[in-house]
Amino acid sequence: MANKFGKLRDIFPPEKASLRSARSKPGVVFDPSKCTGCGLCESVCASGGSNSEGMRAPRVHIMRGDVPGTSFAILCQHCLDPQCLKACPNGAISKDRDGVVRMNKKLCVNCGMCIAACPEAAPFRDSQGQVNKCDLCGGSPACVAACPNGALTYAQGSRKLWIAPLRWLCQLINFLLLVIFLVGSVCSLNAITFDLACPFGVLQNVFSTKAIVLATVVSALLLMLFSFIFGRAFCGWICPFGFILDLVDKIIPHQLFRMPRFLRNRVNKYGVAIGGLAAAGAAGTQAFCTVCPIGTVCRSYGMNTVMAGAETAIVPALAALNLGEKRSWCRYFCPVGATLGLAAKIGLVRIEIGAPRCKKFSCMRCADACPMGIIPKEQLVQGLSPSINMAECISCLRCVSACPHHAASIRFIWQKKKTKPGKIPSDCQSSKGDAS
Amino acid sequence: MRASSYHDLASEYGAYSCVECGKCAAMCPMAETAGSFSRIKSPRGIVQQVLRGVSVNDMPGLASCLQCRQCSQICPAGIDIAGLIAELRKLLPEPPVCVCSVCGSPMLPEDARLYLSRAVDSGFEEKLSYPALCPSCKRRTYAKNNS
Repeated sequence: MANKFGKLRDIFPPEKASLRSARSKPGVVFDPSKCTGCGLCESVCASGGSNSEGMRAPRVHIMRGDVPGTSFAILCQHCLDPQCLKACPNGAISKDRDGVVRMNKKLCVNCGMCIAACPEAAPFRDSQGQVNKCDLCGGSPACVAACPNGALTYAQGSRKLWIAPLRWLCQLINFLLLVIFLVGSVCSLNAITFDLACPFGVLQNVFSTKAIVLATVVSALLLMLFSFIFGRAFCGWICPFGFILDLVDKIIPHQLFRMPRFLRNRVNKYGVAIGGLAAAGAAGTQAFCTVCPIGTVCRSYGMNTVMAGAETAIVPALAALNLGEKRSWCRYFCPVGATLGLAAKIGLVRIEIGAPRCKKFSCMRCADACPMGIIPKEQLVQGLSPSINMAECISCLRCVSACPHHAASIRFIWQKKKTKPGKIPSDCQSSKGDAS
Repeated sequence: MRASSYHDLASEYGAYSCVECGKCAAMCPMAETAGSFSRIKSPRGIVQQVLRGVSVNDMPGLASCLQCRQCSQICPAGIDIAGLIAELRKLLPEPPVCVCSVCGSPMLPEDARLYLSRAVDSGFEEKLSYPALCPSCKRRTYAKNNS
């Protein structure tokens, strides 16, 4: 639904945030474990900040906890996509070129809509009824300088930029190996001393021949073991069809159409898997393998088997699904990924987002970067740590690379959890009642 | 009884001097939120409805006032429109204000809540729950979830 942003915003258009500011977002990062709740940041801010404006209401508040480490500073996070900017009916709030969210007091009527729209209510209403918010003191926040424990730090954010080239290189090498040079394809690969086989192919084989050959089962278990240790890293780092999908997304990053709702269901891939097994049992051959995009890309596009007939059409057709949603095939349909996901679900590796340094609703870069769309923005925007289903995660580490505050990380199952997802009371529409 | 109380209210807040200039409607931040704002929901509309003796139950504008007092400050005739609206709200059987779902303190008027959920919910499949909290409860829950 189109928001009716006002006439005032048309007269005073907010400056568009430039690409540079979108990359390096200024802001104050708060570390709850270091805060003692002394309140120096509040008093320094109240005395005018770095600009020495004179006494004013502070723009930062400490919520003091009983136990050390539970105090918390409420202050503006200067969001990438500010909710207050969307909610302000007068267009008084703008995100400037330098990434700072500012409030134009000439347009502000102190209505308090920004306070209601902000997930942590960071704009404050002072005793005169004036609404104020942090403007980062023009680049050198006084609260950061005043904090004696280093709980507040001024951060532009830095990203782990080496992950993406490493992944692309790994995918390219594996694509060349599996598709161009090794004709056998990933479905069953005879390496020098041991066999590797697609676990879903082996399952189909078992169903079609009604006999279990120990050698093939062992060779399938190798890939399951790999998924148990590293998650579905096969999908993110090795799979040649996944590489094609990532390339399609790189070339055409727009959403051109929207798939029907019944197709956009992650359970579908288990349905495809069961259907594939049933077809294998009924037909007596590995029926799904003839249309599997991973198999056809290996068989039909190599150097030795030049464009094998109708099979070549499968890969472009399924890759076109990517224009509806990133990695649509992997999300909703791929039975191979579903099989690997079973191992990854109980596996050793977890992706954890929302360590204390996570800025949640103000950033949400991880949710934008995730090709599988498993980082729920609904949770992030409410200030909660997202829960990530490892059966869906392809371990591509895009979230780890996108997070400027190092809040997205890999956690092995024996390591301690850094986050504890909480719950905000729901039923927002039923709150009508008498105010007495 | 209603007519006499309206007369008292109107004379107390100076509503009889309204010249329908519409400056209050131009200043009102909630003008962005309604389609047919100017005649019915606007501060001018409310003042005119009071002068015509319309029942408070038929005044939709009462549910959208944020009490920012911009109309009272701009009014060239010196009408305290925001004060008038606050008095009119007391006549309603139930105040048109949403309350915090934790502590029960009054927050935004209902129309403002609707406008807010349209503005901030866009793009989310499930409704956000935090706009149901008053600022201090919101800060407390956020701090509890993140410390």
